[in-house]
Amino acid sequence: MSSTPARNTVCIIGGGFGGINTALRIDKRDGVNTDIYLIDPKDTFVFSPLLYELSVGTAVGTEVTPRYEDLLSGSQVTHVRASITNLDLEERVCRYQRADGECGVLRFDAAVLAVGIKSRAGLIPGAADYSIPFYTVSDAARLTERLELLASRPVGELIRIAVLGAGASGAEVATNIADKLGVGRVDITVVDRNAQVMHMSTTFNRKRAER
Amino acid sequence: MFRIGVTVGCCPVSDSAFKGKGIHTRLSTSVLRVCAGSVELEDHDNGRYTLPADVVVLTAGTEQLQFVKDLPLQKDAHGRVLTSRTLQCLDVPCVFALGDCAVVQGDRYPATAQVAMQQSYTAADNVLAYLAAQHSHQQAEMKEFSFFDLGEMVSLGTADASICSFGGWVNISGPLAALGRRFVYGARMPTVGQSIRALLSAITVIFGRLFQRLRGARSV
Repeated sequence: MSSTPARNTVCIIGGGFGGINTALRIDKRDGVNTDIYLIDPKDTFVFSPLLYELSVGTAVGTEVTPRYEDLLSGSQVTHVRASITNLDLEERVCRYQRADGECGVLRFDAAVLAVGIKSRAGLIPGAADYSIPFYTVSDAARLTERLELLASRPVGELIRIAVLGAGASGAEVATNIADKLGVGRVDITVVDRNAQVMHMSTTFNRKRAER
Repeated sequence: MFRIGVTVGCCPVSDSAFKGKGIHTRLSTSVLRVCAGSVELEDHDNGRYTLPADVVVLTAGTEQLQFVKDLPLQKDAHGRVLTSRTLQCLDVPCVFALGDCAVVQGDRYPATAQVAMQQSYTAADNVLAYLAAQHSHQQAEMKEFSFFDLGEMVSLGTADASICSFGGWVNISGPLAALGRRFVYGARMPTVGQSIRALLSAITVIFGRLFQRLRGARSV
């Protein structure tokens, strides 16, 4: 056995809460002996619980979507801005493609899957064409654009908004839109097939939202 | 203006979030179709009807990415990658999985950032333990993940939020909760510099809103 510790390559796929914190923790504990790659097609991290605030302008981009480059500058972690084209679990090979078409290959000793999930607009007919999902930064930007357009309507003309889903996310979108456009100007309806608002949430938070 | 409830099992009464903001609810209601300018709904009492809407925001329903669907790994009924308590994929010990795309076999916890963050520490330590064991040809000393529920925070507008923590023993709502929520999120930013930026922004926004309200109240 050699006296110098062996170098390892770790590929972390997905730069959300789970991915970036795994990368930074590995770096902090053994960054010297590990090549850490964080693979994500975006150039910014997204602090998703603040997307509501971003869409209504009460939080700013630098706060909600800091650049990976800045977040990783004090570490040995390399951000690979690319999408995975193939993950070979047996050969331990990760193939990726950057936005400009350039392809690359990484051989890994260990990999971490932290890619998250996506909004499912296909579930309701017409939702893909006529609704704005609320999951990504571009969703939030689309909503902001629509809200600003509606806000320029003459005062007195009621703005009607339907929020599909009365989970915590629906409650957060609805209340933040109400505050942005102003009570009295907007008529918001929150729709859910469940009998309760925020049926997954704690009793206190649910009652507090309902009142 | 500030309400702090330290309660056991019951809920302190506080002012309106939905009703006070003119937000209506249509519960036990199915969405049949989204059209340009309206949604078609159906409920037990009214049957089918149309609700006019200038904007329709979709906050319900999620699915796995195609990348995850295509992976030859064991998954649960929701398509989430199954892992052991050490967060390793079943049968593929060199691959770890965490966050919304994965689930610990037999476990139940919400799909939240809080869970993903707690998992990231276990995963990072176990990746290093796994790699060290590979080189020393010894049994890896792995940590087992268990979710510690720190509570739930919900934004209810610019200067309003609701926090339920410590198993329902501490409930806070109102502007203080809004500030608390942004502070906790600030602390969860990946780096210290980013935390400080977030905290300053939170203070500016929430105090700005309260000041606006105060001025509004005086001018009435």
